[in-house]
Amino acid sequence: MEQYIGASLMLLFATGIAGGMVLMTSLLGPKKSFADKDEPFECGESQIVSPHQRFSVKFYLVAVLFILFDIEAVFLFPWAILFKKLGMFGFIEMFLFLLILGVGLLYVWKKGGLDWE
Amino acid sequence: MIPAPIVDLVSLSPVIVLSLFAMGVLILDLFIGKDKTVLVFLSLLGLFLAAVSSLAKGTGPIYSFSNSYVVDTFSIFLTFVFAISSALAIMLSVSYNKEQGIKIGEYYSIILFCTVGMIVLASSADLIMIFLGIEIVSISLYILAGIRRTEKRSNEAALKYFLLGAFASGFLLYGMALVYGATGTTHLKDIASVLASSEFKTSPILLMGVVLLVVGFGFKVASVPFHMWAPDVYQGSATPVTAFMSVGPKAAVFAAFFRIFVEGIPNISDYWDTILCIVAVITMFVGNLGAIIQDNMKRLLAYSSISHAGYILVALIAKNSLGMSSLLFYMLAYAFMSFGAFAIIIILDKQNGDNLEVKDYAGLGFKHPVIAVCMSIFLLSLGGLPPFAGFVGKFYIFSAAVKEGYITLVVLGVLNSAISFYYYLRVIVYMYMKEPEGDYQVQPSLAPFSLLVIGIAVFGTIELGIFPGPVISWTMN
Amino acid sequence: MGFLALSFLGAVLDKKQVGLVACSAVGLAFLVAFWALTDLMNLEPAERIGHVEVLYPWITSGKFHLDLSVLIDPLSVFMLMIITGVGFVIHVYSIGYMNDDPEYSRFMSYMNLFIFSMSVLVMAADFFFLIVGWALVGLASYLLIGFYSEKRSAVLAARKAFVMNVIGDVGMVVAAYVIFQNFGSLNYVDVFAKAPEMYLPNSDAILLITFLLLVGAFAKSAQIPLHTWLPDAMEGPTPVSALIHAATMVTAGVYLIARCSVLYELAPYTMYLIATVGGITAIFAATIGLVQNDIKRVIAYSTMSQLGYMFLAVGIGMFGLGMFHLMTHAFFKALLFLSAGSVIHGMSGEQDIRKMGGLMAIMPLTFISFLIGSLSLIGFPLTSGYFSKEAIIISAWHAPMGNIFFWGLAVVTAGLTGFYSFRIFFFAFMGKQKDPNAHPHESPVVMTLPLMILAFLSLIAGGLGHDVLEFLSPVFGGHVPPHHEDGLLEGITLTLGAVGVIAALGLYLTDEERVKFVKDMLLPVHEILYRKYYIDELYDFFLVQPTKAIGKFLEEKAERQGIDFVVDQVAEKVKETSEGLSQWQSGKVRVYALNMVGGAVMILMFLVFY
Repeated sequence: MEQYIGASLMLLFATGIAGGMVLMTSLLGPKKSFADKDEPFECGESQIVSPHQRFSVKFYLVAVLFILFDIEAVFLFPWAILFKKLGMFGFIEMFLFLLILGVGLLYVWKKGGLDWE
Repeated sequence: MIPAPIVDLVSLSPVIVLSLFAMGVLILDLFIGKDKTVLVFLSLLGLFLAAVSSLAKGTGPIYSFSNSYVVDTFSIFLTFVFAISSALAIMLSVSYNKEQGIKIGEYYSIILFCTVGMIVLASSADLIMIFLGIEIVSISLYILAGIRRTEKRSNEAALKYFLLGAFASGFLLYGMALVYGATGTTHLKDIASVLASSEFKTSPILLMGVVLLVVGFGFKVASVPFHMWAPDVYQGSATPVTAFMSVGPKAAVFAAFFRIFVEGIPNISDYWDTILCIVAVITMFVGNLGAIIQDNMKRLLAYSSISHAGYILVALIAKNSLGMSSLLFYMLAYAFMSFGAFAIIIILDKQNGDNLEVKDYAGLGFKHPVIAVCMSIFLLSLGGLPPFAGFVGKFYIFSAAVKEGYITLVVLGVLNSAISFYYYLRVIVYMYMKEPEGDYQVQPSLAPFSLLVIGIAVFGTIELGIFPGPVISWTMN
Repeated sequence: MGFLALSFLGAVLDKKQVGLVACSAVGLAFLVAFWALTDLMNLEPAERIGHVEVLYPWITSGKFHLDLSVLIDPLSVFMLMIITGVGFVIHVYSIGYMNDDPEYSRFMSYMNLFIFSMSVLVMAADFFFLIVGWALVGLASYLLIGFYSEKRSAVLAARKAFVMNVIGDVGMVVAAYVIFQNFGSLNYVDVFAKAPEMYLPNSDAILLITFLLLVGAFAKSAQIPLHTWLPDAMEGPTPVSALIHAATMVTAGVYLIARCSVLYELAPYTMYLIATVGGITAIFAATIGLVQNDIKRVIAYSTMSQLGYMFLAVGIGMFGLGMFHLMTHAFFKALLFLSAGSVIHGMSGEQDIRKMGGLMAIMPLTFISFLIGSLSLIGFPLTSGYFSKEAIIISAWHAPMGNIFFWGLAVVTAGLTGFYSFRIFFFAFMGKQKDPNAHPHESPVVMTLPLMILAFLSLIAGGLGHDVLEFLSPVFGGHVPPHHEDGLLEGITLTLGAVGVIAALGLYLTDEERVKFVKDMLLPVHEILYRKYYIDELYDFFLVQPTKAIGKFLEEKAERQGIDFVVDQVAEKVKETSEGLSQWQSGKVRVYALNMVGGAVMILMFLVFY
C-alpha cells in the first residue's frame, strides 16, 4: 500500500482544491440573478436557438489551429527534459520538427487563417 | 546518453525528397497567382526524383528506425508504382481542374503527401509504422475526395469516406493493439517468431485482433462486405482523384496487408486463410455483378475496381513468392489500364465530370476511332485478354494460387473474369455497333497532358502484355 | 545481331500512310536482311547455323518456357532476302498500280503487315512464333484477297482462303502440341537436336508430327487437296497475287518442310507422300491451266504446278534444290504476275485473254518482260528456271529417293507448261486487237522499272544455283546435293517443253477454226479441265452442304431451344442478383457502418464455430 500514499495525497489535494473553489465561490461570490445568468452554460452564444442556425466557421478554424499548435508544446516538454541526453541528434531533430511546423504556420498565416475578418 | 536511432538516410531519400517537394509546392502556391501550372511541373519533378532516388541503395533489405522501416525490392518496386500513378493522376488533373474550376494549389501537395504515406506504408515492418502510413494516406484522401467544394456529391463523398474511414481506422488500431497484447511486440518479424511457438496460436485475443485487422484492411482496400463506401465515394470524387484512389493508395494498403499477413502472421494462416478466401470470392462476385447493371461509366469502373481487389486478394492468399511478384506486377498493370480508362472518361466528358453513361459512348468508334481503340485496349486488358497487361497479371496471380493448391478459388476467379467481360464488352459494343441516340454529342477535349497519360497507359498496357519479362524478373528478386 | 533484327521488325511495323514510307520500310528491311547475309557469309559454313537471338524472355510457367527470339541461319536469311527483296520491288510496283484506288493507304498498310508477318514466320526460332507468323500471314492474305470489299466474289474468295488456311493452322497447332508433348520444348534447336536420338526412322510420333505439319504446309502452299483457294485468290489486286500467291506466302509450306528437314529425314514415308502429292499437283494444275481464260488464273495454276515441283524436290530429299527453285520461281513468277498486272492495268481492268491481242507493239516493255518470264517458267536454256527446274526433274530420276514415276510426272508437266504459258502469251501479245473498245497503253515507269529488275533477275539468277546450294547446305546436314548430269533426260525435257510451245503456236497463232476443231474433239476433257476436275463441286456436295445442314439443325434445335434458353436464363438471374445487390447500396452511411460491423461479427462467428 505504501507506494500509493503519494497518489492518495495527490487525490485528496486535488479534490480539496476543486471542491474548495466551488464552495468558496458559492459562499463569497455576489448573487445577482438575470436571464442569461440562469443558462446552463455561460458563453458567447445564446443557448436556445433553432438547431438549423449557422455557426461562424471561424470558431472551428481557430479551435483546430489552436489544438494543432498546442500539440507542439506537448512534444517540446519531454524533449526539453531529455535535451542533454539526446545530444546533437535531438537538437537537429527538434529543429526539423519546428521547421515543419513553421511551414505550417507560414501557410496558415499566408492563407489568412489567422485573420478574423 | 540516449543513442540516436539507426537511420539510413539514403534509403529513406524517396520519402524525404517527396516531403520536401510537397512542402515546397505548398509554400510556392502562396506566392504565385492563379495559374498553377508551375506546381504541376514541380510535383512531377519531385515524383521523378523520388522514383530515381529509391534506386540509390541496392536491393538488399535496409532497416531504419529500430527495424520498423525497411527498404527492399518490394518497397522499391512499389515506390515506382506509386510515383507513376501519382504522376499520372497529376497530369490528368491539369485540364480537368481547369475545366472544373478547381483552383486549389494544395491539391498537388496533398497528392505528394499521400504518396509519401503510400511509400511509408509499403516500407513498414512494424504495426505502428503501418498505422502511421495508413493515416497519412487516408487523411489525404478524405481531403482529395472533397476537393470539389461546391459540388454536393463531392461533399457527400468526402464526409462518407471520412466517417466510415475513421470507423475502420478504429477497427484497425484496435486489431493492432490486440495483436500487440497477444504477442508483446509490434514488430512484424518478432510477431512471426513469437507465433512460431505454438502456445500463442490459439489465444482468443490474437484471433480477435486478426478479425479486426481483416475488417480494417478490408475496408481500406474496399473488399466485400466492407466495400459499401467505394461506389459512392468513387462516383462523387473528381475523376482524376477517383483514378488515383483506385490505384496508388489501394496498392499501398495491399502492400501493408501483405506484409502483416504473410510476413507477420503466416503461422496462424489456418485461421485467416479461409476467411480471406471467402472475402476474395464474394468481393469478385459482388464487384462484377454490381458492375453489370451500372449505366454510369464511373460507377461501372468503381465496381470493376472492387472486383480487382478480389483478384489481388487471391495473390495474397497464395502466400508464396510467386504470389508476391504477381501482386506487384498486377499493381503496375492495373495502374496503367485503370488510369487509361479513367483518362478517357475525363477527356470525353468535359462538361460535367461524372455523368457520362455507357450509352453516350455509342458511335464513338466511328467518330473518334483512336480514342475508341485506346478505350477498347484498356477495357480488354481489365477483362484480362491477351496480349495486354491484365492478362499476364491475372495469369501470374492464378498460377501462384494454383501452385498452392487453391483450385476452387482460381476456378471462381476465372469464372469472374468471364462475367466481367460482359460489361467491358458492352462498352465496346456501344462504341462500335450502336448509333448514338438523340443529339447528345460527345466532344473530347484533347489536352496535351491527358493525351500523354493515355499514351503512357496504352504503352504500359501493351508493353507489359507483350514483354512482361523484365518486370517479372525484377519482382522475382 | 539481335539489335539488327529488332530494328528490322520496327522498320516493317511502321505502317505509315504513304507509299513512300511503306516502300522505304520494306527497303530498309531488305538492307538489314542483306547485312545479315554478309554477316553470315563471313562465318565458316559450320558456324552459320543455330544463331538464336533471344530478344525477351516472355512467359515462363513450369515446363513451358517461351522466349521472343529470332533465328538467324542461312535458311532464314535466304528466305528473308527473297521476301524483302521481291516484296520491295512489288511495293514499288504497287505505287503505280494502286495509284487510282481511294483506299491506297489501307492497301499499303496491309502489304506491310504481310511482309512483317512473313518475316516473323521465317525468323521464328520456335514453333510457337512460327504459328503466330503462320496465322498472321493467313490474316494478312485474307485482308488482301478481300481488299475489294464491295466485290462479292472477292469476299467469298477471301473467306475460302481463310477457311483453307485455318484447316492448315489446326494441323500446325496440333503438331506443336504433339511436339511439346514428345520433346518438352518448342525450340527448333532443342527439337532438332533431340529428334534423331529419340526416335527411329518412321516411328509413330515422327510420322504423326510430320504429317500434321504437312497439313499446314499443304494448306498454305495450295497442294491437293487443299488447293482450291489459290485460283480464287486472284480476286485480289494483282500486286497481291504477285507478292502473296507467287513469291512468298505460298512458299511458306516449302520453307516449313525445309526447316524441319531433320524431322522429315526421319520420316521417309511422309517424304514419299510429299513427293507424290507434289508431282500430282504439278501435273494436275498444269492440265487445268491449259484451258482457263483469265490471265491471272492461268498464272495461278502455273504457280500451283511450280509449287508441286518444289514439293517434289523436298519430297525426294533435295531440300536445297527446292529452295533454289523457290527463289527462281519467286523472281519469274512475280515477273509474270506483274507483267500480267501491267497488261490488266493497260487494258483498264480486262482479265480475259480472249479479248486481248496485239499488245506486243503497244506495250513493248511489258511484252519483253512477259516473254522472259514465260521462257524462264518453261525452263528455256540459260534462263533461271532452266537451272532450277532441270535440276529437279533430273533429280526426280537420279536422286536416291527418286524414281521414274516422279520423273514422268515432272517431265510431262514441263511439256504442259510450255503449252499453257505460250497460249496466254500468244493470245495477249500476238495477233490482232480483238476488242475495238479497248485503248491499251504502256504502264508508267514506276511499274515497268520493277518489271525490268525482276526480268534481269529471272535471267541471271540461275547462275547462282551452286552458290545457293552451298550457302544453304549447313542447314540440311552439311552436304551439297550432288549434281546429276544426264544429257538424255535433259534433252527429253527440253524437247517436250518445245513441243508444248510449238503446239500452242500451231493452235493459237494460225486460225481460230483449228482451235475450235480441237476443242470440239476434246470437248469432254476440256469441260472437265475447265471445271477444274469438279473439285469445288465435290467439296460443296460432300462438305459444305452437309455442314450447312448440320449447322442449321444445330441452330434450330440446340441453339434456340437449348443453349440460348439456358444462357438467357442465366443472364436473367445474374441481372436479378445484380439488382438485388444494388438495393443494398442505399447510400446511407449508417447502413454502411452497420454492414461493416455485421461483416466483422460474421467473420468472428465463422472463426469461433469453424
